[in-house]
Amino acid sequence: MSRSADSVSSTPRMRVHSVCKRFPGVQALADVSLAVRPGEVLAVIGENGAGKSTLMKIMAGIQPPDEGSLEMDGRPVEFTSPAEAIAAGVALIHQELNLAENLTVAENIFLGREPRRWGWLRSGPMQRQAAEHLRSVGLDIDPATTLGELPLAAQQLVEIAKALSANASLVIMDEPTSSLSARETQRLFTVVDRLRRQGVSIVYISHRLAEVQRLADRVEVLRDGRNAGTLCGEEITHDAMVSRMVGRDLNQFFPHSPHAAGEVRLSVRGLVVATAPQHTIDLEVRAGEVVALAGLVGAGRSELVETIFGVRPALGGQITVDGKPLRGGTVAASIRHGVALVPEDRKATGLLLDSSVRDNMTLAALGDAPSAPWRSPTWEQRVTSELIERLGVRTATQNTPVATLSGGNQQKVALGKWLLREPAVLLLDEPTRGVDIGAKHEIYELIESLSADGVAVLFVSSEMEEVLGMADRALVMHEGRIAGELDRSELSEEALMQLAVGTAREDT
Amino acid sequence: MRSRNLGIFVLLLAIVGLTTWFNGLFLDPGNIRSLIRDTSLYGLISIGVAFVIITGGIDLSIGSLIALSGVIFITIGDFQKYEVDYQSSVAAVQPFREPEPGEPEPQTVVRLRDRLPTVRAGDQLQTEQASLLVLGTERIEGQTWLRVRSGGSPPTIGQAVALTRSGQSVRHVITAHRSPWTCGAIVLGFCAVVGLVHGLLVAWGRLQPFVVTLCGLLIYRGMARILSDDTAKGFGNAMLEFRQSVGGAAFEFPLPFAGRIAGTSTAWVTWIEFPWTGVLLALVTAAAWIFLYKTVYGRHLLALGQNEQAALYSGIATRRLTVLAYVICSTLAGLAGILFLVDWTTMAPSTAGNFYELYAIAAAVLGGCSLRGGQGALLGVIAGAAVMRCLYKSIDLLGIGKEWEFVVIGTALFAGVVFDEAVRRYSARKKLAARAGATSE
Repeated sequence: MSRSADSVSSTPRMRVHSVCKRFPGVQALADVSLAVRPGEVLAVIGENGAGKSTLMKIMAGIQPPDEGSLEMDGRPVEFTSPAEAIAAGVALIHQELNLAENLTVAENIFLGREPRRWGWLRSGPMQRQAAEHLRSVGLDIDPATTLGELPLAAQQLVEIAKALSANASLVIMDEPTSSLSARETQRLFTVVDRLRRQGVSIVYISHRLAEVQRLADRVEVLRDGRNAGTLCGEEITHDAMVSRMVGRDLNQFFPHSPHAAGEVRLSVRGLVVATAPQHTIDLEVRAGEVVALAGLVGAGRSELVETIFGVRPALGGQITVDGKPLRGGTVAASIRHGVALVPEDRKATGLLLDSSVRDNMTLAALGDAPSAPWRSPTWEQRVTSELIERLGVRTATQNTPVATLSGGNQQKVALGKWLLREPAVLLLDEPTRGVDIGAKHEIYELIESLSADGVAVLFVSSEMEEVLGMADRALVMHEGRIAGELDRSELSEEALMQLAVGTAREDT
Repeated sequence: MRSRNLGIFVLLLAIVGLTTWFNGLFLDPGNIRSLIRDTSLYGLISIGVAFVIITGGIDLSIGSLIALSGVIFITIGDFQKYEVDYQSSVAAVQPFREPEPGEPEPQTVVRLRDRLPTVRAGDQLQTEQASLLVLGTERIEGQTWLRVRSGGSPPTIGQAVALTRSGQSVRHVITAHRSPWTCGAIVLGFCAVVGLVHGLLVAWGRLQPFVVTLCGLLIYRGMARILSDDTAKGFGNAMLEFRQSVGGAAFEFPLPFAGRIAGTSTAWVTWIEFPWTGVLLALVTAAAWIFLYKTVYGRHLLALGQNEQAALYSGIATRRLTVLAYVICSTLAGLAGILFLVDWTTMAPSTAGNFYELYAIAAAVLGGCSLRGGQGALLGVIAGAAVMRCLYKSIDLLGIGKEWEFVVIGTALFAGVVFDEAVRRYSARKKLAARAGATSE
C-alpha cells in the first residue's frame, strides 16, 4: 500500500476550504475543510446525518456551498453544475448506479461523448477505447455486452471505467460495496489500489470500517457537520474511528452481559425450510439468551427466521413457543404466540414508508388494542409517545412519514412496533444494516434490555463484530443447515468463518 | 379536506356554476332531484370500487354485474299475470255528500282494500245483504273510491264484496310475484358470492385483479343475456309499492333562489325532494367511513394497499381483507343494479350498465384514490361521481350534441387528474424542500 511520504508534500488534488452549508432549520456543514492528494485514498466517515453526503454533493457540483471554497490542483474552482465538475475531472460514483441497462457497456462508457465523424457513430474506435478503459479497471469483458446482463459489481466497475474515460482525476465513491459480495468487494479493492498507483485521487465513503482500514491512506471523520479529526496510517483502527464518529469512548459500545438463561422459550424441532428441504433444523433459545445466527449471505438464515415467523411455509417439523406448539403456520398465529420478526429489508417488509411514525408503531398491535376493533386515537398517541421516548426515535412529530427518518430511526420504529406486544421471542434479521453507529449502539442497548427482561432473542447478522459483541451463543449456517454452534467462550472470527464456509466438520 | 381532494370539489363547483350561468334550468328542482338520484347510484358503485382500488386492485365487472343483478331480480321475481274474478273487502265507507234535491237515495263512497279494476257506471257492488248500483269513481285524498247508491243498507267496514256487470263477475288482471325484498336479498347474496370468488382468485389464486374481473365483465354480461333470452325484462306494472318506496322521496330540503334562477317559480326558497337512494348512499358512505377510519380493519386495509408485504409481516390478514374488499365492491354493484332497475323499470341485458365500471373507477381516482393502492377518500369519490353526472346533464342543457358526451367527460376527467397531479407535485416539492432542510443528508 502506498502510504508514501512524498505524496504528503504535493499540492492537493482537491482542497475543500471552510465550507458551510445550511438548510432550513439545520446546519448541514459548518466550517468543514479537507484535502485529498494525488494518488491518495481518503476515507470520509461519519454517522448518518454527519454531513458526508452534503459534502460529496458540493465536491461534485450538485449543490453549491453557502460559504467556503474549493480548489483543484491549487486553482480555485466554482462548480455550478455536475457537468462542470465532470469537466474538471471529478467523478461521483453513487450508491445507485447511473447507467442505462439496455445499452451496451461501450455505449454506456461513452454516453453523450460518443466518438463520431460528421454525426456518424464510429463504433470501431468506441469499442477499442472502451475495452482499454475496461482493462484498466480489471474487467475483461466484451464492450458490446448489454449492461443489464452484467452482475451489479461489474456494472459498478463499468461506471468507474466511464469516469476514467472522462479523464477523472478525482473519483468519489459513495458506499460502493453496499451491494457487493465479498469476492466482488475484493475485486473493487484491487481496482482502487490500481487507480491509486496511477495517481488518481479517491474519496471513499463507507460504513464498513474494516474496508476503510484496508484501503484508506487517511481518514477524515465528520460529526454533526464538523471535522472531528483526521487519522493517518497506523492510527486508523476500528476503535479510533468509532470513538471519533460517536464522540465517546467505546468500552460500552456492545452493552451485552450474559444473563442467567431461563426456560426454553423458542424450540424448533426437525423444521424443514422450503428452500433447503434436504436438511432439518433444530434449535432452542432460552429466556434472556441472545443467540446469533451467523453465516454467509445466502446460507438460508433469513429463510429460517421467516419460516419460524410463518411468512414462509414449513414443510415439516414443529415450533413451540413457551411450550405451546405453533399451529397454522401463519404470521398472525406466530404473532399471537409471542413471536416477532424485524425483517432484513425494512423498506419492503418492515415498514409502511409513506405512513406516519404512529401508524407504523401501532400497526402490529392495533388488533389487540384495548379499544379493538375500534381505533382509539388517544391510545395510539399515548403508546407512540412512550415508544418514541423509550427508543429515542428522532422524529419531528408522530405524524411524520417514516420515509423521511434516517435509517437508524426507521429501524427503531421497525423494532419498536413489536414492543407493544411484549414478544416472547424476538427474531431480528440484520438489525443494524444501514444504521449509523449511534443508533446501532441504541439498538444494542434495547436488545440487551429486552433480553434482561426475559425475551429470547435470535438475530441474523453478517457483521462479525456484532456477532462477537452481542451473542451468548452463535449458530452458524452453511448452505441451508446449521453447520455448528459456538458458545461465547468459543466465539472467534476464525471459528465463525470456518463454519460459515463449510471447512470445519463439526457434528451438530 | 386534504389537498388531494381539492381538485375534484373545485371541478364540481366549476361545472355547476358554469352550467347554471349559461342555462338556469340546471337548478330546476326536477333536475336537481334527478342529479341527486343519479349521483347516489353511481356513488354506490364508486364507493365499492374504491375499496378494491385501496387494496391496489381493480374491478372491471361492475357494469356487467349491474345488468346481471337486474335480470336475476326480474327472473326470481317470477312475474305472472292472472285474470280473476274481482273480490275485495271494504276498507272505508263515508257518505258522499248531502243528497241534492231530486235525488232519490243517498250516495255513499266506498274504498276497497285492493286496487280497483276498470269500473263503469251501472256495475253492481255485491255485498252479503244487498246489491248496490255503482255510479262511478271519485278521487279523494289521492285514492280512488267507488260512488254507490247506498239505499237502506250501506256496506260496513271489513265486509267482503264483489263487483258484477250484467250479472257476471267483473274480471281483472292481477300480477303475482315473489316479494321484492326476497328478490333483493337473493341478488345481493349472489353478488356477494361473485365478489367472494373474485377475492379468492386474487388473494389465494394470486391472479391479477385486472384479468379476473375482465373475465367477469364478459361472463356476467353473457349470463345476463342468456338468462333473459337477450330481451329487455322489466317490472311491467308490478311491484308498484316497492318501486314507489325505493324510488321515492325521503324528505324535502329547501334550496334558496333555485326556482328563481331556473325561472320555474317566483318563490325565494324552492323545496326539493331528496330521494331514498340518496339516503342510502349517505348511510353506505357513513358505514364505509367508519370502517375505513375508525376501525382497526380499515387501518389494516389501508396498510395492505400501501405495502402488502409489510402488512403481512405485521400479522395482518391481508388475504381475508382483500377478499372483503371484493365482496363489498360486488355487493354494492348488485345493490346499484337493483336501484338502476327500479329507476329504468326494464333491464336491457346487452347494454345496461355498459362502461359503468369505468365511470366508477374514474370517480374513485378523481376523488383521491391512487391506483397504486393505499389511498382512499370517500367524500372525494362521491364528488367524483357527482362530477360525472353533472357533466352528463350539462351536455344536455348547454345544447352540446350527445355525440360529444364522451369527449367532454374524458376531457374534464383529464383536466381533473392533471390538476390533482399538479397540486400533488407542488406539495411534494414543498415537502421535499422542508425535508432537505430537516436533515443534512
